[in-house]
Amino acid sequence: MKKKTIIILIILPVITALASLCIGRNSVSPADVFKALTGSQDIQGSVRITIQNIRLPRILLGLLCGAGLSVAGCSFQGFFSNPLATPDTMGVAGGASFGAALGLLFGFNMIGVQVLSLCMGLGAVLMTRLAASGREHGPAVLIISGIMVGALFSALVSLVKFIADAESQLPAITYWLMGSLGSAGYKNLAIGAPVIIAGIVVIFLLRWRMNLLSLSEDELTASGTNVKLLRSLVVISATAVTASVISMCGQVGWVGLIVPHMCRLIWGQDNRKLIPASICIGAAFMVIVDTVARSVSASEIPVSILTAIIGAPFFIMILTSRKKLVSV
Amino acid sequence: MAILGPNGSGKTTFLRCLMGMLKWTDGRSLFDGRDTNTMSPKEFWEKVSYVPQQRMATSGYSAFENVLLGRSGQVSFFGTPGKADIEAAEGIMEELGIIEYRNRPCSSLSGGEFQMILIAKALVSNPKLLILDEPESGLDFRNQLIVLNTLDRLKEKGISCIFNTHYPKHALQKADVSLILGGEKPIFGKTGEVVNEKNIENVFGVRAVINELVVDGETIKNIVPLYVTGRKD
Repeated sequence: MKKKTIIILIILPVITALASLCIGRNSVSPADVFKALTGSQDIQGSVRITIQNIRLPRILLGLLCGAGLSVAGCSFQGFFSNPLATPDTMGVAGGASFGAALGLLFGFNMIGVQVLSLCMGLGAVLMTRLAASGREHGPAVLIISGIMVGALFSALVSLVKFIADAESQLPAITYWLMGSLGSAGYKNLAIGAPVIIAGIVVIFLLRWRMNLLSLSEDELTASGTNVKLLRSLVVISATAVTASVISMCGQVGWVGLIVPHMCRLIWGQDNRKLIPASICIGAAFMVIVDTVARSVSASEIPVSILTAIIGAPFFIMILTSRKKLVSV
Repeated sequence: MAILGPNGSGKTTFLRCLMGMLKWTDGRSLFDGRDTNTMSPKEFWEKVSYVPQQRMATSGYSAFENVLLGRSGQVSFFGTPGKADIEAAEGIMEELGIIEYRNRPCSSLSGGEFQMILIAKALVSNPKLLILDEPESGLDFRNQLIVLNTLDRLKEKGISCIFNTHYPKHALQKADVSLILGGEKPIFGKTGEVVNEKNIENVFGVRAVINELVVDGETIKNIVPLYVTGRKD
């Protein structure tokens, strides 16, 4: 990558975040945003609180979720050597959703829901891994086990919805499942962010070595790399990131598929470029989508609706404009 | 060294046992007198490189990125390739005359071009021993020659090669010693002695004659297959 590209990629999420701080149902001038961020007493208290306690944590969450889901998508696509793999290929989304639905059913507070969801997400992947361990655990077996575990948990989610009180609990569960960054606060960021950041850092460091995963088994062995360690680190990091994201903002689909592919079209397959590009573009993309979600209408639109509305046509466009499916 | 034998005679299995990807039921692999089981994978693969049987290039990586992957033993686990690795990759591509493919995606290369990329990828880690599984099969007349001549050049550079082939002629022309699989018993010896008309007929079930051509004062051995005799299986 050229220096210029790197600088643009780094600045992009920063600018998007700053712009997003100004935009909302009540727009705030950049000067006032600056004052609010520096804690100046020069502006209205309500504006300061909006910026500091509502928009800022929400934008931070958006940056983390976008970057996290994109990186996880990239990793799973590399891991399975399959361009259609997504962060929830191994059933993590199903598990995390079930955890959250259960938490809401039991009337836990938001932190409780988040922790339960995170645990269930990781538990689902562990189940997938165990289900596939009976035989040579090639990626194909993992995908099938992932689908099964995902199906099991989505049935369990339906069961929870069926049991839930239709007046109060059901809407809460349904709304949560649609995904929203609305729950953002410094408390849940403190739980989720370290996991996401740690996962992203590990994958970022492994970015070049992940290129090896496209090779055949014998070639992989002949590279002298500790393949088991590499595969485990990639899957564990990507899963932890995904579970953590879903536990904070529900099922936000598509980001893990669209952003990596968008980056592939521009920068090619090499994970050395793809991973950093996905981190930056993913972060910016998520903040933009969320800004639209919270500002265009009087009530907030769930982000996963928007990511799908933007994502699906975009993806179809990619598929039809390229003769060959982008291989990994 | 050539490992010669018809399809299904266990050439690839032999190589995989040799490299420890499969376990010997009896016997062991020695490298410079050391049992390879006592070597760590990292240590072993620093000295040995492997070019598997060719498959279609599916990865979207560029030729250069693919060659660079061969340096994974030299780059730290969490690291990315540095200047020395990039220079090594460029150097080997230059040497093998494939530097012009540098930026082309592997999937757009022809079989012969991709095979050369795979050989470059194997050589970029400066191995002492190169193991190739049917490096010339599936390639056209010219590309076979390019690949086989590359093996000759490696011999001059002091890199040993073990390659599988089902062409007796290629063993005869390129290998000092040969192992012939697929007969009643494996036959091993100096190529000139073991790759003879009798063994070819026993192993391949083909009556062939070996003749010598003198071109520019150099003697070149050639094998002409005549007809199929009773097939042994």
